[in-house]
Amino acid sequence: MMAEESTFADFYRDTYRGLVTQLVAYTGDLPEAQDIAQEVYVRAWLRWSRLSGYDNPRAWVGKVGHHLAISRWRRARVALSTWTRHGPPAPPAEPDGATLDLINALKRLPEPQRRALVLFHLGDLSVGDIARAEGTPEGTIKARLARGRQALAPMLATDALDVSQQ
Amino acid sequence: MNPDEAAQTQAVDDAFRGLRTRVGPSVAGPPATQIVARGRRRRAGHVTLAAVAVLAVLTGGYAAVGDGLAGTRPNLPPAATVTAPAPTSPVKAPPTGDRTQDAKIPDGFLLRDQETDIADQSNDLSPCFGEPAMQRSASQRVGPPATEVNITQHLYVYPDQSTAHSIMRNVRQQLQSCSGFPGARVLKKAASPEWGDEAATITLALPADGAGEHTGAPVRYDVVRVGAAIVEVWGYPEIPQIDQDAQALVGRLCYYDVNCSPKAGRPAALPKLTNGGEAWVAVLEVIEPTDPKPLPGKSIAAAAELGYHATVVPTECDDGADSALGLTGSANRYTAVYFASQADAQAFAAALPALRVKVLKVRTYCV
Repeated sequence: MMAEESTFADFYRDTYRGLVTQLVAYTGDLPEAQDIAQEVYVRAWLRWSRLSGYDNPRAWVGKVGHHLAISRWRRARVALSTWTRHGPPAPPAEPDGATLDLINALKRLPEPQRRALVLFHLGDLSVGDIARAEGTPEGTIKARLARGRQALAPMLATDALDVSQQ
Repeated sequence: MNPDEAAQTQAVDDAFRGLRTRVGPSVAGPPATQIVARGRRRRAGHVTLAAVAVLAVLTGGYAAVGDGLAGTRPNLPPAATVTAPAPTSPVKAPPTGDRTQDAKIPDGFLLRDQETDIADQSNDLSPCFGEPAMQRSASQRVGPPATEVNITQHLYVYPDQSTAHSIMRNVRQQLQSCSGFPGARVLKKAASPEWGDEAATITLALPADGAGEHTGAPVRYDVVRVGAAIVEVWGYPEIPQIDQDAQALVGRLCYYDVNCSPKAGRPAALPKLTNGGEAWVAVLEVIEPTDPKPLPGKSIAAAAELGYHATVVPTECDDGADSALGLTGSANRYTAVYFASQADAQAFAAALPALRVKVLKVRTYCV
């Protein structure tokens, strides 16, 4: 049991920051990303005896993190409708302009492209890892990366231009 | 890569690197012991809840049994009386299975589909291809590891031919953009080879994909339409097999073409089945429920290449099939083409020696 706890602690230490960065790109909100990441690791610990035998448990936490981010976003839309009864939530910490530019640009991409870019650039997963996690051919992931990057580049340039013209 | 492309690539890399730099160091998670403790509390909570649920069931059960033991019988309706069954007719009821085909492209239908690691009905749909009724993609590495090329096939099937034709017209007009690389340098301009009902090809210089592989390599992008189906075939670095695959798919896409008919000299298939009618069936492949990964698309594609539309049919819909094939149990299926005569079915079977097609006489139902 102690050995299990020790390997989990190593895994958690090595991958936590990367997962939070990846979730920031999905949610645009650091406290929310940390909250989701902690929930992901609690779930990972509950399954650690099985998960530790996987080739790449990092892919598992990345995928679960993404699902949780999406379901929270859906719940947040419902919560918005009850806003008036409970008042607004506390304002989140303001992310800097460059982070917002990237997050806004990512939001405009088709979901599969956004996921591939985030997992590759922020999740430290290889094309093969992403393909296995997504259940999609490697060629499709490469296409999503190349197409996503092509779509992202002018948006980042435009966003930067918009900011400089303000 | 031209200077603009290089600058754009740099901008994307910088943006991601910047996010890492800004977010990573500012993140400090709780100690691992705290996560483990939360997990343990949750597990303990689940155990408690489970125990409460078990207690509730036991208590409820005791209450129900207890009533009976106390001698107060619930006011139940009288039990149904057993009556002798009505005499059954010696005539067997006709099978009532379902010949309706799955609304998906059959597994194994694409080239080398059975060898691919993953084939999927992915939702990574380019806006150029509208809203197909079905889609399937497969991607394979071809050639030795040092020079291997990834070739991807993506098949879209539309409700009818005119929709596919209209989508294809749009694709031809915006071929480079539809390839997903709108700003890439054109290495070979768009062409319209005579493949299938219509086709379009282009070769572009691959923009950086972030993985740093093959940047600037020639990407070959082929699109072919046959009937209601459109297939994209693409890969890099360009090799002749990409075009060869695009042409090889044409034959099997006959499956999605209402005008598809057997090549000259081959017998016609039965145009229509009737309930209780006799037919000669050519069985291309038997699929039993225990088969781990059936690939009916492979035999369907083989028949389509000869101009025939094979179907996957529950064997119970063809009286005589199970016994002729030695099948037991239910839920067996087979890939079949029907003919009016034994000679026609055997001529068809002879054209597909690799599949060891069996010919049977059956009475068809579920029509």
